[in-house]
Amino acid sequence: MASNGRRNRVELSSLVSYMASHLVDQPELVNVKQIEADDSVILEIRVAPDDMGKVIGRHGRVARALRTVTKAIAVRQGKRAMVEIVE
Amino acid sequence: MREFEAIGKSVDEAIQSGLNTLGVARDQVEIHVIDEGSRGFLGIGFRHARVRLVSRVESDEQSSSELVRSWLGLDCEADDTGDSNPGHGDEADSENGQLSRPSPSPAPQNMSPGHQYLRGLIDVMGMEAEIVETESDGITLLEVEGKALGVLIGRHGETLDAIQYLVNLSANKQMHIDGEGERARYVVDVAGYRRKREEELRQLALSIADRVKREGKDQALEPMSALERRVVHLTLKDVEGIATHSEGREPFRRIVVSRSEATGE
Repeated sequence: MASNGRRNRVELSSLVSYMASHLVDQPELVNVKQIEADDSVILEIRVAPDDMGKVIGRHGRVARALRTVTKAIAVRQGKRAMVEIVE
Repeated sequence: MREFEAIGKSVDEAIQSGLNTLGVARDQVEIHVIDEGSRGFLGIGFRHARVRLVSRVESDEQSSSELVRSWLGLDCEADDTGDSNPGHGDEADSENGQLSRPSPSPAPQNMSPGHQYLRGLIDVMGMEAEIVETESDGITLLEVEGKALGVLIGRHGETLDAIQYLVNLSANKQMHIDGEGERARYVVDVAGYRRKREEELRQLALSIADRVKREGKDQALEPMSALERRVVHLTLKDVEGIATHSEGREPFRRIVVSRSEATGE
């Protein structure tokens, strides 16, 4: 729990990185970059090339689940989150 | 031994849907084709294919876990129109000495991989919640209780379904690393949401069916997930004079309730 001071102030990048690293074969190569802009947050996920499929899933199902959960938590902070998986 | 009748757009689809519901492989059942169905012409004269599957495997499931099973969305990938419930087979099962345990037992001290994953996820979200783990017939139910958990449920349980999906993926991945094991199945519920929503959907389905019968006009429901549509299909399956089917593409796929033409049933 990395909340010091205000509760609810969760780093979205830790959340995304938690979810991503539990899906891949090489968790040590998971990197999540958090870019803030006004009330939106962009989360860029980078994983090992071989692990791309694991975070995307068939028909993008895994990626959709990652987005759904991240957005839900972001909304609680009054933010709009965009999760992108980058090569 | 369990018998189960399934329908589908084609014989193959019907078989697949039946296998999904029974949770068995094709070589574990006897397949009887009751009706090959008909494609019709320009949509006229279309008839569903019907098959009866007789499972040769001793059943270790029973009705109490039937509900929890349905929350798993075992047949999520298949089209949901072909489902029906093997309800009548349940009593018969206990007759041949195969008594199953309906009461979920508390999980052992050590948390299941899915429980550990969910615990970590909730912590990293900065939420405070308790997780209660119960296991029954190979399905692990993780019930999350706490304050202000709506965020974990989302619109129509969308977030909850996503979380459940991730728990299943991640926990089974862990198993894979630890060594070969059976695929674990997890159902995640938050604040009793699934049970409540299921009841709500049943009520909704029945009242819509009533209206369709009275007014004779088709009624489209709002878009729902495959899991939720399944509840509606199952609820109205045995309602006389009423037929249901799904239209549209995910995630906007919705159920249409109409009067069934076949008066002979």
